[in-house]
Amino acid sequence: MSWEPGIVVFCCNASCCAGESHASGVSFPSPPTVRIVRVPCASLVSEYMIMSALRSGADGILVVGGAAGDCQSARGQEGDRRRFVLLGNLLEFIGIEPGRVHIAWESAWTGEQVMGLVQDLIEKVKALGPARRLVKQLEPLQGEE
Amino acid sequence: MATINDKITDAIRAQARKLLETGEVAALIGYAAGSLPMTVKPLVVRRPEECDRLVWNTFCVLNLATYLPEVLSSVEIPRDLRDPKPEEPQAKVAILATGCWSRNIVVQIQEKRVARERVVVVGVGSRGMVSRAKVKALFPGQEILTVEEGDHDLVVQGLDFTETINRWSVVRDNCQTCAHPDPVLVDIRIGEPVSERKNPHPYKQVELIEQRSVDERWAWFTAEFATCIRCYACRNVCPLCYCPTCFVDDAKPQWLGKSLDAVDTGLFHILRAHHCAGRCTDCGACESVCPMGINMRMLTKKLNKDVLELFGIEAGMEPEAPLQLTMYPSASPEFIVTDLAPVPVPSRKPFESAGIPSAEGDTSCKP
Amino acid sequence: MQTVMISPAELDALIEKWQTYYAVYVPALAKPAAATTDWAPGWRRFVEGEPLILPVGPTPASVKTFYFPQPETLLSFSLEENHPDKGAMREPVKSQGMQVVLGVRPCDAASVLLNQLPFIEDPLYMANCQRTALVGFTCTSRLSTCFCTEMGGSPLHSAGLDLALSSLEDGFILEVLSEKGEILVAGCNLVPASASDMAGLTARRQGAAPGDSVQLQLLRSCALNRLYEAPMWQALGEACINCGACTFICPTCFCFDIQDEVVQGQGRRIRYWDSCMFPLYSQHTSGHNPRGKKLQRTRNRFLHKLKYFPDRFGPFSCVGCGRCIGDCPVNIDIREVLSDLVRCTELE
Ligand code: SF4
Ligand code: SF4
Ligand code: SF4
Ligand code: SF4
Ligand code: SF4
Repeated sequence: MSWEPGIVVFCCNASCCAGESHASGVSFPSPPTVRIVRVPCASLVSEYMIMSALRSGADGILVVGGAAGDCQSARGQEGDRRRFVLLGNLLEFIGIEPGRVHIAWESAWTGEQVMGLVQDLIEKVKALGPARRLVKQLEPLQGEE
Repeated sequence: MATINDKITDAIRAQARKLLETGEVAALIGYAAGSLPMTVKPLVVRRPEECDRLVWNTFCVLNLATYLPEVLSSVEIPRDLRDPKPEEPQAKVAILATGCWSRNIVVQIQEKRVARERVVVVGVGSRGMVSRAKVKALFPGQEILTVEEGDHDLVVQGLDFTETINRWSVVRDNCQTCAHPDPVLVDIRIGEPVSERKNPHPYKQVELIEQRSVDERWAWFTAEFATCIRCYACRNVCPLCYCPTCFVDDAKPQWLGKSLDAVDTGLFHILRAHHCAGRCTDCGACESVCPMGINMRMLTKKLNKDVLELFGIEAGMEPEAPLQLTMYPSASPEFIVTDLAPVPVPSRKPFESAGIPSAEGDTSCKP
Repeated sequence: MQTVMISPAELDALIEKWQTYYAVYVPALAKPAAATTDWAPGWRRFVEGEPLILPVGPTPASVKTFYFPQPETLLSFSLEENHPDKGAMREPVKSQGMQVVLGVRPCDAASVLLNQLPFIEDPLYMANCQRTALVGFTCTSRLSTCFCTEMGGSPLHSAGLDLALSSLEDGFILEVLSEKGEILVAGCNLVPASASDMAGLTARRQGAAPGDSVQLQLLRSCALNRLYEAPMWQALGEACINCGACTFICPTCFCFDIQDEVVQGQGRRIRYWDSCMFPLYSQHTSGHNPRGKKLQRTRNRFLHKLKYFPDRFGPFSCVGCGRCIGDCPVNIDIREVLSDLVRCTELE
């Protein structure tokens, strides 16, 4: 069985509704290993959620938010942008492969654009292989493995 | 002959006594002598006669700002939650502060943890604090029984040896790369001001790690944090960590496990550091207190570097400034689109906007 | 049980032999590579042929991690449909293999016996006791922070050890003190210790063992309330930052918590270290916290060791290893706490 990377996409209602409806339509990889987490505003995506996704074994993570001055909650991205840039850099610093966590801002997203990002991420992650770092594993029980 | 720090100790005692006797402050946060060589105890003095217990030496590695909010509330007139706020001004608290501690006090003011008008900052220029771990590492397998402090030397004595070592060589890494040893916020000054230092490579250690390959960085990270016992001393000693419930204690959702699992320990450190982004002043308290000798400060230092390079900010320089991490100045598109590594607009000069003088600083306190 | 002589070379050969059958741990003096800690920070697997270097005074990490591992899996379960463990809790099969901990000091050995008092009915702790053999060295020199003698111990005690080594000029006196100890030395041709050497050891022991001091007796007989209300807690609680450093490095601190961890449908119920210094430790589900203030938590740690535990079980729950004195970030010194408490029993 060939390995399909598990991707978690956090995207805000306004910018990415289009993306999602598109997703449920045609061009999604099968089996559907892409999970879309819709949030009212990308600034609600916390560093905990990103780290939780990594910890639970997501192979790739994408956060999609609206660009400055173009946010449906007026100033939503102001709260997240700097934080995410720093988090992304920090993750690379401690040795998470560049490309696993991808954060994107754009003014009006179209469905195609979001799908394009997802596809790009899938390609990148396929090249990197399954996530191993910061993925929580239970201690094997005696007699297992 | 009295050393610089002896003179500072005397001045601190005299000043503390004056402040308490005149009733200007209700308490002063400082240090008392510790029970072991190279240790000090944080001490809150409330009566003039206690002031002679205060000391100042080269081992004051904690950050007193950590205690400030609590001591402030301890001197308030007790009131019920529903009672109205008292009209009259509340009692003040004085606190000793070096460069980084004063910057943490500034952050506390910015974050509305403490009210500026209730704090009397007794500023002491820092000559760099000595790392107990570094001194111990020089004498492996031998117990250090006393350490005498001179202005530029330490005389270390054990059971069967006496050695003199250069003080600056065992000063903590964060102090050696510190650019602002002098308090940025001073109400009362003790001793001489210490001039700004200009270090050509303040982020050398971070850069050395950055230059490694991603696998080497991961190997460094896992090895560095392998022995963490999750005692949270690094979190509790930090003046920035004051959440009533820290994320590690959250139960539903539980963001990370609580045992010594390497992944959970790693996540704790990443997230803790991330919470200090744009606020950390590199005071080094976290690194100094770790019983396992873990250098978790590298993570906050990396964030400090990014914050300075990308946003042109150093934490805690101006009480009036807004909190930089909560804003995205949309008028000035620092980085316009889509990728993880943002592109700073080249015309910005981060150093100017952070108010750092670009003239060569004085390095005279290095021997 | 026998008392024999062993030369350094024989000891090395013995350790090498243990390694073929058991997991042998020694104190890690430098930072170990991530892979070798085996969930026991501060300890590492002994590598054949290397010299065994012991620090003066207690080992950097205490032995409690072998008895009270962090974490310990209590039960396993599954949330997956069609899994045989769905809806059932299964006790994991625990390793029965003996582990040998080398380089233990008398204070740590005493701590194992102390912790058995509250854990006597805990099958997991007792099972770990069964499978762990302590090979200790009595102390010839002490650190300035060692105060085992004040807590009723002695640098020369052997209680709690399976094998105790006391150095002589040209080797060691090896005391075999338990069945596990017998197993460890089985098949070795060792010369019984001479009567004069044994008499020498006994004499040294008698010279060094004061037993419970007068001070501790004062604490025992003092009413709890008096100690509880002592004014000294104010300053202590104010300085303490309520980290868990002192409790985690302490051999006799044993607070724990139990949680379920679920990863991809599979779950474990684990027990891991907790600390009375953490607010969450005493927090009730209602939100009320009987030890909601820093002062109360600091007080609890010391009164537990110096009053509650002796009132309930007899001995004091501190072996005087001095680890917490050296590692407390704010230099809270249990010896000072002790003498302050004694002073307040004397005040009228
Ligand atoms: S680590 Fe984060 S959540 Fe925890 S106390 Fe510090 S700032 Fe708060
Ligand atoms: S994170 Fe560490 S260096 Fe930064 S302010 Fe907190 S204690 Fe100081
Ligand atoms: S102080 Fe050290 S051992 Fe304690 S939690 Fe922090 S890094 Fe871990
Ligand atoms: S006594 Fe010291 S080590 Fe223990 S919790 Fe308080 S500050 Fe931490
Ligand atoms: S309380 Fe301190 S001295 Fe006593 S056993 Fe624990 S760590 Fe050792």
